[in-house]
Amino acid sequence: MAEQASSSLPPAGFPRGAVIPAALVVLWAALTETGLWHGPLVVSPSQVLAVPFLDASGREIWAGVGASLLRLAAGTAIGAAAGLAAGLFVGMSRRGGLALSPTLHTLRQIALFAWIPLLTSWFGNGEATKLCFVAISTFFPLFLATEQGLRTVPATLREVAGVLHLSRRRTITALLLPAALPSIGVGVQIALISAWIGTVGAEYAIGNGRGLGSYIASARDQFRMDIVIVGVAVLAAVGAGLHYLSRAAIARLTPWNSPRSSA
Amino acid sequence: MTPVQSSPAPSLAIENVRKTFTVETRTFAALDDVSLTLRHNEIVSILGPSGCGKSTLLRLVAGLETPDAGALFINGRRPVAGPARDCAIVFQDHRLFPWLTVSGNVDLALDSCRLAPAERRERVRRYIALVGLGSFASAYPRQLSGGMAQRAAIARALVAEPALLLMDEPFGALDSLLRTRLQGELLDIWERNRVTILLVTHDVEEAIYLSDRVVVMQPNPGRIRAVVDVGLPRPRQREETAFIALRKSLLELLS
Repeated sequence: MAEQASSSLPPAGFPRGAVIPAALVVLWAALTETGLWHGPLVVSPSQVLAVPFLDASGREIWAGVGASLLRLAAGTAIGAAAGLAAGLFVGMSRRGGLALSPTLHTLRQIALFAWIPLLTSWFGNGEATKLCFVAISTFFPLFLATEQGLRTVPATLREVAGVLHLSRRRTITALLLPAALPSIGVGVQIALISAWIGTVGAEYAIGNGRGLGSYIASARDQFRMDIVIVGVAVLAAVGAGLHYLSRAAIARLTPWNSPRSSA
Repeated sequence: MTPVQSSPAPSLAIENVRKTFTVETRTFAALDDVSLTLRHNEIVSILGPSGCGKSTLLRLVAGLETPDAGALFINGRRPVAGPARDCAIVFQDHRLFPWLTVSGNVDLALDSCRLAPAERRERVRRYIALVGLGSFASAYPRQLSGGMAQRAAIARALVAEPALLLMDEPFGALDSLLRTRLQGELLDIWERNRVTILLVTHDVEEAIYLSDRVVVMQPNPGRIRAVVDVGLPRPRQREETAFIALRKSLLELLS
């Protein structure tokens, strides 16, 4: 009974997962600072580190990140709400599911970036297209996760709801929603990753306006590899941060679902 | 509590029930022409090898399945389609909702009863105390041991004060020491809150220890082979001669 969740304990001292990235940075630094690796597009780690603080155009990255995060938040709010609503509708109403589900399952087969030409022709090259793109990128993960979560509510617990004569409303609040919550949580995590890729991807592909994606695109056009590398690093850091934040939030919301020793 | 004498209808009447299942193209009779009547406050065990339809019979009474032929009456009333009213079931696995505390799970069973909030809280507290989980009311199922979880499930079944309690191998997943203890506790609860109990088990000792009558079933098709009156005074001793003799004859009926 007193099993220990040893795998989730934080490692003491140097985090094991940081060994490979640190080794690569050391190697990169050694090669560039000694001049063994050189050329017009080669930059050293120290240059890259300095750029977002000391360089005039490098400092613009913060505004870009801010603009991207706002776009991510707005697009995710729209797409996730719609995905959750569609998933709940399809998962709870048999007839509604039969009517709506085939359409949505066909639409989700469209590769995310294949929406861009359609969206730009509908909404132009402005904010509406980007928001719509982010919304689409979060809609499907959340729709699928919600639908899946409701479909896999254990039949044994459904029987309990039946023999206890729970009302429809109570069945939803006490059984269906909590049972689907872990799956919805995974959906939120995937949706956020997808939304971040979608946000930066849309900015990069459309190229105008503020945002991390368009910032990296213009840095590339000016051969500023130091800025491009900082941009990519920030991209990864924000993505990882979103993942960990959402995972922690979901774990708090579904305490029964995480490993915990018994009383 | 006053003894129930006024109600002429039996607690449960099962009349010529038949239930078939079709697997692929083969149809087999899980139950064939099964009839059984339970008096009020009686404890009846159904004993039989796996596949004799004993769990199916319980699920029919609970309204989780519908019979292909025959009829079931609870307190003289034929339940309408769906899970039966005035009847609760304890499954072999506790089936508590993992996101609700013990209180929350027990409280759920009162959802369809119209009780004042204060009375409802008091009822939940009383039944949790009855199964000995008083200090675990706010614990989540995963924090409970198997025996504690099963006790919580029993509290959930009893809290709405059903006239008929169905139990499907309720102690089958527990170790023998705990099983013996919970059998004793179940009898204590039954003495205090008179309720009719229909219990499915494959444990001969459990059947003799608990029941007024033991129904022995046989498979292919599922039928009642014999109904045996236990007739021993409670509390029963598992070592006494009559107990052992009865166990021997039941084991012979089963083989």
